[in-house]
Amino acid sequence: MDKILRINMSGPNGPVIQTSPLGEYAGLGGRAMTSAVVAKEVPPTCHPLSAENKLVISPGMLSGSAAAMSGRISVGCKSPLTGGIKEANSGGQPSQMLARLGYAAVILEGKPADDVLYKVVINKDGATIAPDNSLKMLGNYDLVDKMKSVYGDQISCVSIGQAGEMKMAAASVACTDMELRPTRHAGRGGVGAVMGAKGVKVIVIDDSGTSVRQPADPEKFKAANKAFVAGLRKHPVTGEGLPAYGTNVLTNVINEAGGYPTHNFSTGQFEGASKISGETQAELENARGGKGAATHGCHRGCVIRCSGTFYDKNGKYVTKQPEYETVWSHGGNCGIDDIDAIAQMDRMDDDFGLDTIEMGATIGVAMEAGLAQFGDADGAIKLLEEVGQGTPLGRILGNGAAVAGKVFGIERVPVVKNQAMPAYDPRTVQGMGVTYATSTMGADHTAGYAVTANILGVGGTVDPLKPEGQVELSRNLQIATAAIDATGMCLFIAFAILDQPDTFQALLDVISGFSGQPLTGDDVTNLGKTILQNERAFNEKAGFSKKDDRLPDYFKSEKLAPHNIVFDVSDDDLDQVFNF
Amino acid sequence: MHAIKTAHLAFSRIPMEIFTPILGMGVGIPVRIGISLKEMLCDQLKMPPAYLEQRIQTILVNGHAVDQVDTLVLADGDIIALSAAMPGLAGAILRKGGALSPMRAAISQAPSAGNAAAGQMGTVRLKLFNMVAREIGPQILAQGVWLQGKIWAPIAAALSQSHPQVADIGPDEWISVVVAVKKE
Repeated sequence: MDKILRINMSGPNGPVIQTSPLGEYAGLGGRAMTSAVVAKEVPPTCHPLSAENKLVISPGMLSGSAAAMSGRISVGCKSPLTGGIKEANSGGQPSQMLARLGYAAVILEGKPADDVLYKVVINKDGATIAPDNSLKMLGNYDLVDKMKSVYGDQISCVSIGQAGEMKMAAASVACTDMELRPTRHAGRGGVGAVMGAKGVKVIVIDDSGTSVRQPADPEKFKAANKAFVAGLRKHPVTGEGLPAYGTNVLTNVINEAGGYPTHNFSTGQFEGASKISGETQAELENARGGKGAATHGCHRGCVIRCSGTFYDKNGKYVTKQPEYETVWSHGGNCGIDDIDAIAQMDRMDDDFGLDTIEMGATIGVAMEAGLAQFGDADGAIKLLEEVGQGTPLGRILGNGAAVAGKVFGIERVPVVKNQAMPAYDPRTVQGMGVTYATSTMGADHTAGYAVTANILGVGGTVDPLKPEGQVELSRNLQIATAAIDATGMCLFIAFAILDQPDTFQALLDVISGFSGQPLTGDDVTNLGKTILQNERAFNEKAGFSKKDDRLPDYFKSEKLAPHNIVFDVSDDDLDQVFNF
Repeated sequence: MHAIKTAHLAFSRIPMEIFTPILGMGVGIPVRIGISLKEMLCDQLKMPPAYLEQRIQTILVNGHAVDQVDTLVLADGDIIALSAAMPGLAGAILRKGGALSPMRAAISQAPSAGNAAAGQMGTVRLKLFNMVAREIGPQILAQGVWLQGKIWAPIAAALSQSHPQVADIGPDEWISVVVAVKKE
């Protein structure tokens, strides 16, 4: 990855393509790249849909190599949803392909003067851009089918659906999977709306004629990668639980712990949880059969294979296996215990190009407002249809839970920095609430995810008996996660490297074997800190202050059943998270 | 709770697609109470201690995350959930004795006050999730479990062809179910 592709959509005679060397961005990838570019080049106070904002698409540092699990891609910009910096990331094939073509980043800049929609094609001969208004208001599935008919089935696509074109704040950027379906999404923060504002409908990537990126130290890299894969396969989470049940294996346990937000975060347990659990879902998928039913990877090089393929009762493809967050958002949060209806909504989200977490949370708010009843799957589907059609109601819902809450006068709106909370109630898992509150991204369960302090030694060793431990842990987790997000590695590697020091060392050796540079835990820590400092500085200049690092007040006053607890981490403690 | 009927079910292969959701919702187990969770699992339910130590990574009792299985004393009516290692930050947080346990301090199980009811019989509701359901579910079912009528009814309906003798009970009544593998 030795170059950056910039497409200036504001050119006087149409878009201008420029390829440049990496310069000061050399050595960066993934979230490290997107946040560095946005922090340096985007005016923090600009309107997110303006010409001044930039959409940065960057493969992880190891993407395109033979490193296992390295196919994550980051999409960054100033977020239309939060107003702060955003990095959303996705699986799928584009990361590997872009990296093999040598691009460390694709940056969409400016804004077209007219109402023309563009298509970008990137291959070994370079990049081209052309207007194509025939693509207007196509859903992601039809769009990708159309690209496949033109460019063949060896491509991958980065695209937006109707929601992105309508510049909705819940709009996602879709990435195609191994089957060339638009099932993987950089979902959070409205990155799809920024792509829509740039007037780019789809980026078609064809890496034909390229080869796998070669490591600087092939022997070290190969041996380390082998050990890394072995570590993932022997760990019970990455080697057994995730392949067998997918991420939805969490439903039963989180529900049992009383931390499963139900009926728009009004209670912590859902009576119908067992019907939509990962165990039930896997049994159903295996019974229905079909290729890649309950165990399937989201990109080549994935050895965990936590995904799957959801077919209806007649064996017809519906969508990829809905993730835990999706099953929760469209399921328990809305009182819906019909896994087929949830899969249908997942498909609709993917097709319209919407963040499933934001949409489920928004529909939960809408249900509390009386637009549908909790448990009414048909009602929820109709609300989602309104979003895809861009009706006035749909425009409101497509702009997320915070907007919907304001419009319909609802106090119980589960957002931080206007971004909807994921599937863990912060009153039950209060350490998660610390991360929700303080993340640069808004409420985000993946912001503080990766490796614990006791491996990386970030900020010393945490005493688990101290009440402030959850603040320190959140800080350390956010630092480590930012670093992992830069590598292109899937965050699910976290458990194997958390539990198995030899697997953590193997990961470091994979990275250093690839780059040819020595790497220590301190280096990883410093990378994570730099990313967070970039993001934090951007947000401060955009107008954020510590008052934005708070959960909504009702989490401090409304007791959550069954434990009847409130979020009681003090503001002073929250303000210590970024004290590094 | 009191079981009024017993159903003996025999299969050449236990249909876990039927019993997995049931194990997830919880089955009644008559046990001695006032003893530790570890004693109940290992002594009464014959779970190997190594399995409890290594395979079962998350334990919830009445929704509270458990870190110490040998000091937690069971009471009548307790709801016990057992899970293998879980993904996600929440999965790591909920692990027994995990480094991230401070992040769920609000729901961590407090040490038990005592064992005044030691030796008396009672009933706990046991929930088995994910790999644990798959691995020890058949053994638990073979030892016999109690199911409430409203949970038993769909099973009875699903098994009506293969086991026409299965009993009908009221939705709030209980049935003792013993599941065995047929010897060929």
